Formats: sequence, structure tokens, C-alpha cells
Amino acid sequence: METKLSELLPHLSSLYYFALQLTGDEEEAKDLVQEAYLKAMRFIHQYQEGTNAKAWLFTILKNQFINRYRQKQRQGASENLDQILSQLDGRLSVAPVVEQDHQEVKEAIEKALMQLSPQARAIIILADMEGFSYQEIAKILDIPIGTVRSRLHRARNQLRKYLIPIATRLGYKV
Amino acid sequence: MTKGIYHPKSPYTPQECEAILMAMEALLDGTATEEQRTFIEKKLEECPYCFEQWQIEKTLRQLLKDYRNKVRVPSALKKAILERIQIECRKEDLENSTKD
Repeated sequence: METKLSELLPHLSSLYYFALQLTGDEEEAKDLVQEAYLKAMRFIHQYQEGTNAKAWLFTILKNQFINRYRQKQRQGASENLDQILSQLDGRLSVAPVVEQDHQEVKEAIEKALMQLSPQARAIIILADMEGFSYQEIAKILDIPIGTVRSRLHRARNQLRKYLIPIATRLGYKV
Repeated sequence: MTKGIYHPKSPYTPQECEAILMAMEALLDGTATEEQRTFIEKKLEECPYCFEQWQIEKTLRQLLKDYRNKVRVPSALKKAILERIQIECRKEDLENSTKD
């Protein structure tokens, strides 16, 4: 049990950040993450050590979020995460506390993310921030892999518009 | 032509640039075919604008990753999770012991 929990806890900040983007509310995000960890521990016997713990946690978090959303809407409709994201208010995004030495970079990224729709933002977070594969993203968002690829390309095109000037100006070299 | 993405002096058409960019993304995402890989390698040698774009692509990803890595989790959250898990475990132990 201890080793398994220690495999799950390193993903806390990833889960918290994604929950923050889904709920747009710090308290709700905290609740959602707590529930996801609790559920994960309840089903820990199903988790195989060494498999992708992060993807598993994200799936649990996603399901918890969908359940909460359905309860709030009082609709029995079987919506998936992608459909729910398309109904969310684009301005919902909450900027987390970020220990960023470069205020300019932080502000540029947050401003750029705010310009994206919740669907586009989610795909950027999953792919470019969390490093999930197309297949894992397809599962989390319940969309086909081909859609992941094309949407990701479109979302990145939008981001490029906002972020290339700052990246070039700062000479941020990799 | 999308402003800010493709260099105005680039020898390629916007459609070609789009295809190059998509292949670059595939390569960085780890989904590129062997064909796409050689295609990009060739472009990086031949076209200085492609090379510049390649650097920008890597930089953008790094910026986003760095940003996410610096997100601070509220300190009480980890504690709350650990406490709730402990309570759950105790409950389970109790249930198991009454079963026996």
C-alpha cells in the first residue's frame, strides 16, 4: 500500500492543475483531487505497479468530474469530457500559484491559455504540459486519435501566435 | 499565410509550411513515421527558416513544461489527502476485522 501511494503522490500537481482548469475554482479543484486519490486508493488492487499511474489517475479524476457535472446539471445525459468542455465558459480558467522567476513569461503563458477554448486548452495541457501520448489523450477526452492530432495542431497554431514573440525576444534556448 | 508562424522569405508555400510544421509536431510528439523523420531532417539542412521554426517549437514546449512544473499545490491538500486515506484504511480494517 505504501509503495503504491508513493507512486501516485508525485502526480499531485499535475492532477491539481488539470482539476483547476476543469472546475475553474480552487476549492472545487481541491475536492476533486482528494476524491480522485481516495478512489484510486480504494481501487489500488486493480492498479498494476509500473503501469502508467498518471494516466490512470487522470482517468479517475475525469470520471469524478463528469459525475459531479451531471449531478449539478441534474441531467442524465451521457456526456463525455469533450462534450462538457465544449459547454464550459471559456473565461473559467484560473491561474494557479506559480513560482515563476520570470513574471513576463508567466503572464504571457496565462494570457495565451486564456485565449484558447476550454477544449483547446485541455489538449495543450495534456499533450504539451503533461506529455501524454495521443492515445492517452484520446481516452481522457473520449475523442478519436485523429481528432487529437488535428485539434492539437490547431491549438498549437493559436498558441504560437501569442507565444512566439516572447520566446524569440527572450532568446529562450533549449 | 498565418502571420508569425511562417517566415515571409521561406521558399515554401503556406501549404508546404503547414505540412512541414505537422511533421515537426509528429516528430516531437514521438508519432512520426520514418518518412516524416527523413523529411524533417532534410528540411532542417536545406531551409534555415525550418531550422529556426524547429528551435521555436522546442522552446515553446519547454516554456509550457517549465510553467506547469512551477505550479504550486496548496500545502494543505497533500495533508488532507493523506489524512482521508488513513481514515479510509482504518475503516476498512475495522470492517475486515468484524467480518472475521
